[in-house]
Amino acid sequence: MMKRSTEDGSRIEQALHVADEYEREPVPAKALKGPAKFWGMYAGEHTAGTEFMIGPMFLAGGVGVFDLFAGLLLGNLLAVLSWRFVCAPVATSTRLTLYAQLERIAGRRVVLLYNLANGILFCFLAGAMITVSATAVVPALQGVGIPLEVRQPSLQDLMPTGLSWVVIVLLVGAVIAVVAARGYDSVARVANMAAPWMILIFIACALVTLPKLDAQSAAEIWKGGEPQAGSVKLTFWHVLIFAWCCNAAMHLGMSDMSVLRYARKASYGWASAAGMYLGHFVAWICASILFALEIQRNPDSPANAPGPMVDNAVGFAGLVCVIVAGWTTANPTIYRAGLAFQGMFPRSSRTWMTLLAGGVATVAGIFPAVPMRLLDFVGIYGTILAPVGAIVFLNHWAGGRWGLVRDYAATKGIAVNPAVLAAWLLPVGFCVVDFVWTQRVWSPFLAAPAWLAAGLLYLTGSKLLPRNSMP
Amino acid sequence: MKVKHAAITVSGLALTCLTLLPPLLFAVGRIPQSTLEFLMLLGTVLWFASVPWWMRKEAP
Repeated sequence: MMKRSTEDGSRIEQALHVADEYEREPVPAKALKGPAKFWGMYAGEHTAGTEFMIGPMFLAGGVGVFDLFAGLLLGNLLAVLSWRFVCAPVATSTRLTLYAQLERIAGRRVVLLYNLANGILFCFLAGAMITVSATAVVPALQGVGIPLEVRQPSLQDLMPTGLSWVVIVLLVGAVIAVVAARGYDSVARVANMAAPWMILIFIACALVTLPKLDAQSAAEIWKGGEPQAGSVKLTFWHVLIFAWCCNAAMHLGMSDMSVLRYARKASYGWASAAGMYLGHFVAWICASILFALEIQRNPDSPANAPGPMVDNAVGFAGLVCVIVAGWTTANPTIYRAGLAFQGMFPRSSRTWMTLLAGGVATVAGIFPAVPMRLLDFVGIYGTILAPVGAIVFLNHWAGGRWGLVRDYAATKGIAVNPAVLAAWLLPVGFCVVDFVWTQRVWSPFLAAPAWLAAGLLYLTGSKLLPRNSMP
Repeated sequence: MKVKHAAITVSGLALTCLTLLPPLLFAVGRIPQSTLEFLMLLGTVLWFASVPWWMRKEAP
């Protein structure tokens, strides 16, 4: 049964014409969508402003040409397979959001904790995308004659670069947050419209930049060797694992149940290939080429702010692309964060929770720390969230077998499933300790082992639960 | 229907002739940077002006 929104939320929802999103019930057959929508949505969502950040970071990490191309090809394939065979079957079978399904397995109080972590991490990720858009807004406004003096953030900046930067980010974030509150249909529509054009802008940037490089082959662009100061040395395995696990929260972690629950068939999970090979392959490589020119021009202190790089390449059209790319990905990310916060407070309005998420993301966007350490942040973000997907996966396929009860918390009427709590927090705690204190393992490498560990711990822990028998 | 067909034509031209072709021409030295930037901006405007007329309004 759908929870009723507060009166205030209802007025805002009416003003914004927000659609019914089936937050806490299975998506009915009448709301299912055809495959084309998912191909366009995935292409748009993963051809984002952050691709302008990640591509250069491979180059800064001293990756060689074979390691880059082979790692991206195989890593993205693993990601697609994860969406198709891990997330999509569960999503199309249950027709529920991750939060609704997890509550049935783990109990409401465990979901509260997950929703808090999920919402905050999504907000920081969206904040990084707001930052990216803001780097393009500055030269765009300067280009139309508005005299702005803003120091763009660079790889070494973790704090805001000035008051004018803060104001720009606040304005960009406010617009993005309000639009995100309209609901999934509207943001997906814009992403669908922009996707074909965006990928061509990425390609255009590379085509324009290549003649300006002092390189006769790809090996002279991605030379390998020592990384730039402050960057981790990246190898084939770094590239492969990052390409696979950068979206671990969505595929292994089942967050994209919120999206794929609208799919008529599980095979629509293949649509993720549009995002992986257009966004996480073509766009990353094109962005890397942009940064190669920046390194050539300023070898001692290359700046990786996407706005100025793209402006130098293709001008105002490129700035529009950076703004739109950041926006069309920030929106669904803020939307997911809003869903997560609403999961914590079921009687709350999704609109208000989405606006809250947008506000947190905007504040996070003021600090360049996350976008400038994006590879590390994405790694730990997937590591923290992905393990619950193993639990959902096993509940779906093993529930009712091997003596396990499907949807244990709902069946037993409990608020906390201790097996879920332990299975999630133990591997995550271990990984967070490594990330914060010892840093012996590059954070993207932690996601898949944490997922596996959570699955094994859940199987083991569930068998130890009292009265864990078939109903 | 005629409007939709016209919009599709404009969108196609915007993508091919005004977004992908100018960088190729720039890369081989046929057009200067200023012309490249103008054509690509024109393509951007035409794309977003035309695509809503033919892209279906439903979304996932």
